[in-house]
Amino acid sequence: MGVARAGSDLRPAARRFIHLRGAASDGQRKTTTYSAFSLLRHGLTHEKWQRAWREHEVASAYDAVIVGAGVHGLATAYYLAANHNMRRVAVVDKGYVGGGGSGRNTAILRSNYLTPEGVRFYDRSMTLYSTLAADLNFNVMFAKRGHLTLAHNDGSLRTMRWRAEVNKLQGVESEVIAPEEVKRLVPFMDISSHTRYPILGALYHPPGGIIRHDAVNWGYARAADALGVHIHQGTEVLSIGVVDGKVTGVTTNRGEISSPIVVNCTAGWASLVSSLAGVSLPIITHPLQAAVTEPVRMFLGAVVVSGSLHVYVSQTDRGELVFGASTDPYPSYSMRGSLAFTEELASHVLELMPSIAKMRVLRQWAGLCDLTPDFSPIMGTTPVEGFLVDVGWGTYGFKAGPAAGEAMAELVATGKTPELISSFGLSRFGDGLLVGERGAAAVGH
Amino acid sequence: MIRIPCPHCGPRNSDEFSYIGEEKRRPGPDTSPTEWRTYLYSKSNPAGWTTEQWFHAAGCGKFIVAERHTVTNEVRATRPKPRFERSNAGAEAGGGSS
Amino acid sequence: MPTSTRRGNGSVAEPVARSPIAPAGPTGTRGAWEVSSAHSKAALRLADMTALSKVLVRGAPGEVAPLLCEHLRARREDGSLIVGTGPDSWLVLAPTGRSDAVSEMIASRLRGCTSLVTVIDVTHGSVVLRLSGESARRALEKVCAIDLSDRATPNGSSFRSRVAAVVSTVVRDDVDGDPSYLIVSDRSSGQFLFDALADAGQEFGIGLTGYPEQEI
Repeated sequence: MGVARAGSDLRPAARRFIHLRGAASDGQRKTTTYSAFSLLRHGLTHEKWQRAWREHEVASAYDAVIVGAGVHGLATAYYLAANHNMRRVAVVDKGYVGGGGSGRNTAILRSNYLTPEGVRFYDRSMTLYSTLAADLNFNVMFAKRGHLTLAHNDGSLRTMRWRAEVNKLQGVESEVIAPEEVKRLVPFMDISSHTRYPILGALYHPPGGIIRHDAVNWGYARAADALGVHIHQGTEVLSIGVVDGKVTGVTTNRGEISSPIVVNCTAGWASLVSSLAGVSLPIITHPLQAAVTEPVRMFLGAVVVSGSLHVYVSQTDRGELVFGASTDPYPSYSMRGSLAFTEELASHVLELMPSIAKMRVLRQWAGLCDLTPDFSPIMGTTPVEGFLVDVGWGTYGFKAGPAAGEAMAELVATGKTPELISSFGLSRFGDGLLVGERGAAAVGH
Repeated sequence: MIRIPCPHCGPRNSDEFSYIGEEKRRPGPDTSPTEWRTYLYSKSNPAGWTTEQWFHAAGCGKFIVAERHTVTNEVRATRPKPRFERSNAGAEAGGGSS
Repeated sequence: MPTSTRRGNGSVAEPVARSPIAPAGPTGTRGAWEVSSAHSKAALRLADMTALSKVLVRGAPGEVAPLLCEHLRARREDGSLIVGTGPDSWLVLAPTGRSDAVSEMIASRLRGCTSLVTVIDVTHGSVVLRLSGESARRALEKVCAIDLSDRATPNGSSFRSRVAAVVSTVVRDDVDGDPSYLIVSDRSSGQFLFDALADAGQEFGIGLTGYPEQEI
């Protein structure tokens, strides 16, 4: 880990022990460590499991208030406590932990982006994700399956070559491969030339994979709680206090909180929360629909993405196929699914993998995506002092959670924007310094 | 799927339309780069009623203005987008020809 | 081998124009077009009418509509069919080989207009299909989301929407009291649209028929 903290030279388990001891010595409860032994003990004694995180009364003041208890908000709180010893921190959410974009995404992790800034940033997230289970003492089920982005035309193939070179320069494993190689990785794929969208090649990203998104949210919540962070679910921010251009705190449905720092870590409601502080964002909110099939035996190793067909597919460890599509074609805060979506998605998936025609869709849902003009996020300071944003995560927020949380925590604690996220500030739109990720951000916007 | 009452064609599925964007006033040619970028990028993105432009691509082929609620997706009013007025000075009278 | 270019000024013995839709059954020529000469007596019939002349008119609604046709309506006139395809666009369908004459006629009628008017021959850019018979409405309803009831779309009405996902102009144009629809779309979508309609009509015993004597 690149971040200095107490005991960073020790094995993860020992590090955890120190954290937990620290939490306990602050006059708080000691959080149980999950292990094979504790599992066995619980199995034998039927002892009640300890709650993963606690309920608290809302205090009248915190050193920082984070709005949004998704992966970004919880990771920011966790790294504030773990890396910077800031523990008087509250995470408030009008819903429940991981109920927004963090629980609605398709849980794909990758770092094969298009701009050097983007690749560096997302790769930091991949690094944090790969040791996250040990760091949080929570099984987040990260599976490095390999990630394939298919090219169906010369234009996509060209962009993929470009991406592969940018990736390699940043030390990220990424290569353009031929259709035969695609077939070897995913034998069910139709690579013949007579299809409507023939596969001309693919961008292969071996470190890419999938993760259990709920486990990531819960793991961060539990670890942050163990370090003394207050997680307030069902706590809606109604207004944000700003006096003389400085944040003074927030008013919630559970009372007023004074705080010199308020971080907007919401997705889907980023514009609305920011407007409470009088900050206007270049964001437009679109729903994005996804669906999951009944579980079948494991047959799809890699994550398969097709930009031209607007679809991405992966198979979970439970055996379900998870499908995601492009965002709905008009902005909306409605999270209702539509038949048109299911029909289109099914036809595109069958175009790629005709053999799964008999599989049944179990359920479908939608999440909200805050799209920015350049398909890159907005992280950092705003014209209102003390009001920070970690927003605009479009369709790429979940995979960025750890790196964004780590960087935002550093910004809150030190007051300086870390170099890793310096290109992603809100001021870039006024300055005309966009970080164009349209070619790699997601599936056909 | 939502239903949009096209002022020219009557009620139609939204998939016949392309979403264009929020109605806003385009700044004049003497604007500063900052103002121009604000016009380009800034969005009100409200959760509620908003006035926006749609293009009826698979219908009459006209731009329309719609008032839509972004939470319920109800469209309460539509009207034709005012036609771009061009000068007829140079147009040949009865300029039709095959 | 037949070509699609006009040769010299003389009459043409072999066809110079073809529909993008593969002809059903035996073929013959009509004017310069190769057309299907199949004849179906099925209760529901689908015909490729692409050989018709097609002329597109654009102009200001207020000036042109009173002279041609209202939007969402179609009007028969001198052996041609004038369709209001949009507030400011019209499509005129006429027997094969008549596009120059129709264009002249429209242009002269609109000569008094002060707004910009364009008249363009789009004969070779689009396809026309005719779906006729008792169950034409039920077949078309399977691939089109518009209300096809007599109340919403009576004989003589027209609209532009998607038919089997293809953007098309649909005209309700009954023939001797027999329900019938003309469907006009881009030439490149022709074969797909034809196949999709033939497929939709399968359960009603659809028959593929040729280019009729009475063209429009």
